[in-house]
Amino acid sequence: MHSADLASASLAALPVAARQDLRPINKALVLAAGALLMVAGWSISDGYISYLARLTAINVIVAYSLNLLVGYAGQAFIAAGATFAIGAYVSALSMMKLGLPFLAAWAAGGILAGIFGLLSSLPALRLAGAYLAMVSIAFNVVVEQILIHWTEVTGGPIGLPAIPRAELGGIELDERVMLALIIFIAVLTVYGSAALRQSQWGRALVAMGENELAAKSLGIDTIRLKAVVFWLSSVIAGLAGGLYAHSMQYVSPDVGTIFASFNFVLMLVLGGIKTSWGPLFGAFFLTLLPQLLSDFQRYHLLVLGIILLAVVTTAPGGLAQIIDSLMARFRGAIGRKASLGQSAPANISFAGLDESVAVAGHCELVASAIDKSFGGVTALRGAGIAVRSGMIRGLIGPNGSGKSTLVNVITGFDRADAGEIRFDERRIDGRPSSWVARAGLVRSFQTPRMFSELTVLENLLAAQFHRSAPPLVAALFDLPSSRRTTRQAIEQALGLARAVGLEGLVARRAADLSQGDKKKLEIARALAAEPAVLILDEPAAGLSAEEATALCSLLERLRAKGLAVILVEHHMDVIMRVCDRITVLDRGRVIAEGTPREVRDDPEVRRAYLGIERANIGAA
Amino acid sequence: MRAIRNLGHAYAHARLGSIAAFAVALLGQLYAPSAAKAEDFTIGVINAMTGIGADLGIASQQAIEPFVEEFNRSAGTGTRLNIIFRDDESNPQKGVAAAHELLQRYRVNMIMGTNLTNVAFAVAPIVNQAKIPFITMATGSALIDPQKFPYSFRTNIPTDLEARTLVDHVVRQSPGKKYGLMVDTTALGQAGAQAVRNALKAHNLEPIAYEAFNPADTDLTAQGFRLQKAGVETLFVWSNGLQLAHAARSFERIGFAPQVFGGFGTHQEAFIRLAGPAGSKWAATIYRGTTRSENEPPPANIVAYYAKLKSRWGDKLTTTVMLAAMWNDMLNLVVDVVKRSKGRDGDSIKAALEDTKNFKGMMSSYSFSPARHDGLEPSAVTIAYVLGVQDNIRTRVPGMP
Amino acid sequence: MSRDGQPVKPLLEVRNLTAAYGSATVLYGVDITVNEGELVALVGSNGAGKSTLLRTISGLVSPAGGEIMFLGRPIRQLAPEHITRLGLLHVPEGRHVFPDQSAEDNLYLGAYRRLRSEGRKRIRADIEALFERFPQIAERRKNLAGLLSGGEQQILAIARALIARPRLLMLDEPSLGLAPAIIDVVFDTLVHERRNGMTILLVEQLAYAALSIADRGYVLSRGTVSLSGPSQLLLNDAQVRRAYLGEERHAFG
Repeated sequence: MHSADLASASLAALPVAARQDLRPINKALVLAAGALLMVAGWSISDGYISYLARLTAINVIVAYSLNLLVGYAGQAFIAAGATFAIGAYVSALSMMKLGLPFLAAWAAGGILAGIFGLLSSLPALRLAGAYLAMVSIAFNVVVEQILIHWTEVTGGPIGLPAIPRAELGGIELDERVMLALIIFIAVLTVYGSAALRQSQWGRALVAMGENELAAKSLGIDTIRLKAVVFWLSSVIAGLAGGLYAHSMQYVSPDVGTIFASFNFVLMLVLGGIKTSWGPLFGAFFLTLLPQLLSDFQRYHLLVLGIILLAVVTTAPGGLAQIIDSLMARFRGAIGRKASLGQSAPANISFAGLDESVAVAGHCELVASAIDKSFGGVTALRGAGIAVRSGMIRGLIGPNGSGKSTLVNVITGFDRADAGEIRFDERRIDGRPSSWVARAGLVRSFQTPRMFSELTVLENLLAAQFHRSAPPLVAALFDLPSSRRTTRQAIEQALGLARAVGLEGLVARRAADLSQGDKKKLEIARALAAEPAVLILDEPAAGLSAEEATALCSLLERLRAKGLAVILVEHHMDVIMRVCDRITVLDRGRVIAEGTPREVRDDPEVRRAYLGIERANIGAA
Repeated sequence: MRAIRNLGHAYAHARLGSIAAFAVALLGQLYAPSAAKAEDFTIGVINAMTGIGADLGIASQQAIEPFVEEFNRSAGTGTRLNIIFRDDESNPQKGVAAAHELLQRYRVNMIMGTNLTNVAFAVAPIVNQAKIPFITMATGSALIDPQKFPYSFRTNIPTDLEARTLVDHVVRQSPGKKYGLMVDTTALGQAGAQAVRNALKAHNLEPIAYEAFNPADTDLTAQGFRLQKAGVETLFVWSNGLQLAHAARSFERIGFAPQVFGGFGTHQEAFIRLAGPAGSKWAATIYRGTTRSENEPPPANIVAYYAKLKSRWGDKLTTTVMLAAMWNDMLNLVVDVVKRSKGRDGDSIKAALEDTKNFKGMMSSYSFSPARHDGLEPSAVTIAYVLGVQDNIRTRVPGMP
Repeated sequence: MSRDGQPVKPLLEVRNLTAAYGSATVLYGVDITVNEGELVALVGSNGAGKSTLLRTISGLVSPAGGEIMFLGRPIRQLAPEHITRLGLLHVPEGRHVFPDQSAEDNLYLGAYRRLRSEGRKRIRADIEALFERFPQIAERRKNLAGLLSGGEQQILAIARALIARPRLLMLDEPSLGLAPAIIDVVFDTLVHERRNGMTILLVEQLAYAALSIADRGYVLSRGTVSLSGPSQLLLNDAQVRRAYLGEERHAFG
């Protein structure tokens, strides 16, 4: 029961909506559409239309490159204008001053833009959101100033007139061939970004953008991933700049101003960020609309502003949203509703668990004498915990006793002030969280940290990224190796979804799950990362009694498979039933350690944690 | 969030129809035929109407519109002028878009304008490639080169002529001073800086201090302070009126009062309105036709022309009379050229332009030839104080004819 | 039906309510009523639509159909903040405290609407009483709420809702993530507030505990009300016991 047969069989078993997300791209269709567009472009003889078509297609390329970085990866990078300008200037100057042939000059532009992208990814390692946006604006200003003031090379504010046209093998490309070439690159970019989004890379990018902490907890190396996406996006934008330079034959610093950068971001927002067609709509709209409004002369910017405002307030999801609802109207929206409708809440079962969870080798985790304080507040003093394969360790204690802090310290999310953590004799304290996760220590979170815009299935696929990422090139072109990794990942993901009772909901957005289902997804997602030590922070919170019981069986099965489990939980039924040993924390100290029975009878535990009235309420 | 998105959906449904209709209408525009009639002479005017060059662009329009209205009224059944204005947003890339649109969608017979030098540089290759005559008002010297840009012409004062006029005057009137140079970072400022350096070099001189500023800066006290410390006595500036007004005010705050000489762009309404008494020692190049010496009466033809503009625009009038007169000359020249030309095609118009000998305008007489595309007589340029304007007539600085 | 001999006054009436997320329908014609002074428990399995029902009542989700009456007036079309002003307070699941304010200031913010009419002194007394009830947040009253542990934030969120003295308090899983000892205190507090006249609609995964303190109960399954009645009857109902109470026990046997 292995191999591709099984994989395709399970794909067929998916609900329609989930299958649509994972369906391989129809390459023949792309090829046909691309060829058709290129011929259409080549046949345009009207100079003005050709000019608009070239400009639009170039903007499409930039918008899609930004969709990877700002959309999927969620990095607030504004300076696309600068990247574009670097590609344009370097390509133009390489031909004009160094005498390079077009292809070499064009590539040089892409390479330098890529280096700029890598440089701008450095602040993103520490900053996010508005702060990152500010820093990227500063990057943009630096580039702009260099273009204006390095007059001997860049031509200063006047820029570079009379840039040579692109040539191939010494033959100059005329406007029509150039348009066909630009359309080719644009189609390739649209295709590549769609392929990337559907690959394991795409899910990892979105996961990082949605919830960086959760991504790290699953072993996704966010530092490397950021570097890759900054680099990739910048190379594409830089290449678009090169196409611009050699097709318009003129560049000035104005192509790289902060306003140009905002315009690119606006294309994305207006078209529909993170959508597969939004950037296309946005690029068309923002390139052509100002031209259409040129008759308003000095008021055209005002009119443009009013139209943009109207679109954004009408459809916050951008033009893609408007077009989606139009399409839904035409289709009558019948099929979708039926497929998503009401999914029966499934109970936790174990079908698929055996194939989905690998048998873990022997391992041992020992954390000892951990101190940790935040500001003046001491969270942990000399706390410790140990677990080995085939064992479930309970970690209980009153609210605020330091349980979550201990989990954070062990998994590298917080750094201990003192103490040591050994995993199979090897010190792991001080290691970054994603490294710890890849070493085999995977945790879930108390408050579910979903990749909200991804489906349940995609959440589970993203968790497998660190051991199932295809080469980037394979992902960009949807090569068989990329599809294979996705298929294998789906296989395991479905098994895990079944194991926690989410198989009926695999196509639902994680954001739309109920609190309890989110908790189940947290557990399944942690398992998808193939841990040796599974650390669950209050997995039973929000589960019904019945589900909690099923959770116990699940944990017992995992133990039988050789996993080491640390279970932070308030649900005493669960704790008492499954734990081999229990550690009790109070105010950052271990106040008791022992078997469930020993802990239960400990008077200090009863006083500090269980409360005296418990027996009355619990007596069913 | 959900609720908001749901609300958005409801809105979207309610307005989808109207938006779709709007989009279709807009797209239809792209293919709408132009309104021009075959016998019209169509001129595309590309100017900045927004952004840093907006002052000049809007002012230009105030001179062009009355001219065209009057001409067409008296044209009867003859050739009429049809002008299509386009805003380049002070951005060369937008200028290029406008040029493509005017050349290929409207098939204009001529392009004029591009008040900003960098926009002119971007537009020139496209217009020349289309073999359509291009009369630019941008002053950058390198814009006019019959070898490189055979279809580009100019009646306005080129930057190097301005710089030469200023430097020659300064060296003649007060030799041995310490010269400073302050320009903005736009193409206009950079071209001015180069021209002033070249003109000084001809006298074996060079500036002892150089400052550049961003056109968006309103506080230039830092630059002023450094120039003052360097001991600058005579300062050459190159920028637009608004930016220079900020400079004058900044200098006043720190008590820096050198003799200041600038280009043509200094004579803008913004400088007159905003510089205040701080600008009283500022002088700049200008057409002699719009000036007078201290004791002379103002030139009557210009006073009358200005009165006419004033009655047309009232309080909205922002154009200086020299800018308006320059456009008036350009358009009169175009009318004359169209009359003399064998046809409407670019090459015929170009030939007729190059055949222009001593065409009399308000500001100068203009002559062109295949080798000469800068048509202005150098003697038409003088230097005048920027402030103290009466009836929009400036007073020449002592020592300038 | 009347309790304590008082006339029954419906405070909240939900009639035939339907709601959907995008194209996925979550509620199919739900009817529930909460009378003045009652503590009503709403139980049901995960994904049954309990949270969605509360979110729809408080205006966070716009309903697809049906009617919601609060204090005798329809509130279906009102904005969430408007509904809150009428005295209907919703404490959503999860810990929505103001993280950059101290724990104490979070409580003052909760009492914001009372502050003008009742004065600071009364409010302070109420806050002190709450701190007495929940000593673990009293210890950290000057700490920023964002730095409290997950459970402490949960308690703070409940306390902040109580201090507002709403006409109707809707709590979504107040026990979530709380240590057993604290769950007792929270439930005791609800009983105490109910005795002092507060009306409460309680959504709980701990169905047994919730029904034990409630006057009446509703069982929601798959987006409809499958059972309802006095909570003692529900507790003894064989079907309920099997489906929802199961092996639920919260303490050592």
